[in-house]
Amino acid sequence: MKTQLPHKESVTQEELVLNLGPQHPSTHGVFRMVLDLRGEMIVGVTPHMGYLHRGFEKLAERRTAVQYQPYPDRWDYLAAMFDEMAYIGAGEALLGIEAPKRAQVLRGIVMELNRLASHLLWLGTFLLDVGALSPFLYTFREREMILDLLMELTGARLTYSYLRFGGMTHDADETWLKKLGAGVPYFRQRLKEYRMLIDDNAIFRKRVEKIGIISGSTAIRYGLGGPMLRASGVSWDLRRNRPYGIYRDVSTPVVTQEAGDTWARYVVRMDEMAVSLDLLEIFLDLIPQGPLNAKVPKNIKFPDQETYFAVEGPRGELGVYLVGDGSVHAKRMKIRPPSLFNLQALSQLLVGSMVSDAIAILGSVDIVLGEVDR
Amino acid sequence: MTKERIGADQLIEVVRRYLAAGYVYPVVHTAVDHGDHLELTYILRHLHEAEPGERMLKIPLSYDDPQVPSLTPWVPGLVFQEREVYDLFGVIYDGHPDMRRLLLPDDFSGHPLRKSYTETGGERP
Amino acid sequence: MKTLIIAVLVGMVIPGIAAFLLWYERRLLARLQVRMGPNRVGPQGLWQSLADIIKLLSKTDTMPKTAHPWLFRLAPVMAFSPVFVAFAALPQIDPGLNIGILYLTAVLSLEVLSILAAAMGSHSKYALLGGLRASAQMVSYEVPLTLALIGPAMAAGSLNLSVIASSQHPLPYLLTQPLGAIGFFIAAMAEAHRPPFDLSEAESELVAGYHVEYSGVRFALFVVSEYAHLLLLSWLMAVVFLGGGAAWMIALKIMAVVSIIIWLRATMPRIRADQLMALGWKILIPLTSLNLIWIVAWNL
Repeated sequence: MKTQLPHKESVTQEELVLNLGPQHPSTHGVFRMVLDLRGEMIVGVTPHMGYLHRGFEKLAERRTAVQYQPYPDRWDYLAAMFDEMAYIGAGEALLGIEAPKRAQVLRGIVMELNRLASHLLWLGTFLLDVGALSPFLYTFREREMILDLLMELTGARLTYSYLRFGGMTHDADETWLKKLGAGVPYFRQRLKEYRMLIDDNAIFRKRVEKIGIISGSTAIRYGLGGPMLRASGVSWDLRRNRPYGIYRDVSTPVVTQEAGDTWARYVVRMDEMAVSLDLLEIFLDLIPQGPLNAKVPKNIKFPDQETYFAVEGPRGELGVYLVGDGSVHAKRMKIRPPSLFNLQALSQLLVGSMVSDAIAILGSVDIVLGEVDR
Repeated sequence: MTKERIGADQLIEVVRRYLAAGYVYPVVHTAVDHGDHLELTYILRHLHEAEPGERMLKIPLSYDDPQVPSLTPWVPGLVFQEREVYDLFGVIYDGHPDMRRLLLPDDFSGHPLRKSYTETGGERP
Repeated sequence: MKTLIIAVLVGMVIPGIAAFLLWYERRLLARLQVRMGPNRVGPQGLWQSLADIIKLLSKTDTMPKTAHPWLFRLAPVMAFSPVFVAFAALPQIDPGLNIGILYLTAVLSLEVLSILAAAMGSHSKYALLGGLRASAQMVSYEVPLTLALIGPAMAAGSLNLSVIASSQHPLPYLLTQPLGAIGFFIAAMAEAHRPPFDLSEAESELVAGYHVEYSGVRFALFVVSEYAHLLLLSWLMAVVFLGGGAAWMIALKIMAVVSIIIWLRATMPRIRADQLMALGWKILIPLTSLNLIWIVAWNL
């Protein structure tokens, strides 16, 4: 029996405020979401971030261009090559340097490898959130192979510090390229296995279909990028629409889905992995003999100009807005993180669903707090 | 990319003109501290074939009263970026639905990305 | 006297078998997930469960300050008592219990109370959410569970489990009442909170659900009762649907059922709360009712 409140409503209904995080197995980092619940239904969501804020943008004003090179890896630590490419690309645009062809192809190769690794991690954790325990181990087994390849090439598994203005540090030798070439059909086979194991699983389908729907026009207005945008029917991929580096010489197939729900985002990422494998094979054919690094001044001074350079990362558009002032430090370096923009649409995605859906939806957004907070 | 320098009072009118022309995708929004004044930068993008693909707007602001109208009613994708500029630079956005800090703790004092803010804490004289 | 001895034996042996099942689950699940599972503590890691139990028993007894003193303490006890008491219906323990099936369903339906006690007594929102989900789940799945068990009772003409076991000639009820067997299997997994029906303990969503605030001895009791429940339902499946038989035969059948349950844990994602309700009410109840009609038609 509900007690009669004297002058307000005649029935007491309490909204439950549930705090998810900052320490929580499924928020993918130190992220805090406060959910207003009515029973199991979400009626409001307030995200709180900043737990991982490390002051990267201010640091750029205190370090020289070369001193800053290890930092971009740590923005989105799962897609470090893209962070590096964004920073190096912005710097090269300001300085008027173009890396030689061999370097450009190698950059494309390591970026696509990184995209695969990032998507594999996303797949494992997404399925873990939905309750399937085993695929996490299978995808990590594959990811370990990619990380081993990258460790052979760059010396590090996750934060590579590999790209330099005008090229990169180490060249890839024939054995490494052959190993990569042999790995591609292996990964293709694994990808097929994952699709076979996961796609037709009735419980999985019911957990992800028609959940967290966002329309194409809303996605555009919120500045979403990557799979979030393409799963809602918007055919936009920086590799094709605003090509950079080696992507100016290849045509990147863009995968889209129409439904805009969590299932669509899953399909887009799986298809993107297949596209990455195809691109790897194309790059391996394309790689020319030649110099690895362009000539770069010893003392790098950013001219008094500004530029915006963006790459298509696994999460969307990762951009760097760089303003120089003629000195060795940058005047301002702004990082455009795709995960931050993707999080803006959180209330659109979550309000109206249930708590377990919230976890699945957040998993499908694929955020990395390193770049959200910087 | 075109670059236009406008005043804070023209911001809404110019942005609405661009939105109507199809430049609906918010690419980035930030502020730059030039040492003697602040400058806001907005980049809006047209997702279909259009020349130019992006348009950049720059709005100079003074240190003493950095205020602009919020663009969130027309471009919802700027809601976090505006909060970030408020957090790190101290620019107030008129009409923002949730004007509070984004990355720093709510009780933090100071705006770190201003040139006058030193890492050892406090303002540089 | 004899019953007292049997009761004490059951009280001591069942936790041992539950510990063995814990080890078995961890090893089998690991192999299905391309990893090893515990293999250091004792030969093939067999002493791992013992080590875990000892660790749990030696922990400080904590209780949240705002927890309800009685409910919080009683919940673990209320979790394992019905399960242990339910073993009395099994033919290997007491062949003479003439109300076997009735007794089983009555006693197992008391499990819900422990979850409610844990959820409400913990004074934690996560526990509450988990507990509400769990109690809705358990209450809903009791109906198909009972309906499924009535099938063999009707076919054998008795509620006594040893009669049911021995009347499965020439075919076990799994083959003559497949709908009932499947219905029982699914409903029993839901009753025991086994994945994919473990949303009340969903680690990735509610941390640990209704037993999030428990540690030490109390948590050990929850764990033991969970594995004892697993053992019970596998044993029931073996006796009621797979034909019973000699002790070694039953053991083999139990291990087969347990292995399938673990296999399902490795493969299936977690089902959502409302989809779980839909499954129980809209699919399993018609299925198990259809089973009863099938039996009547078969025997005419």
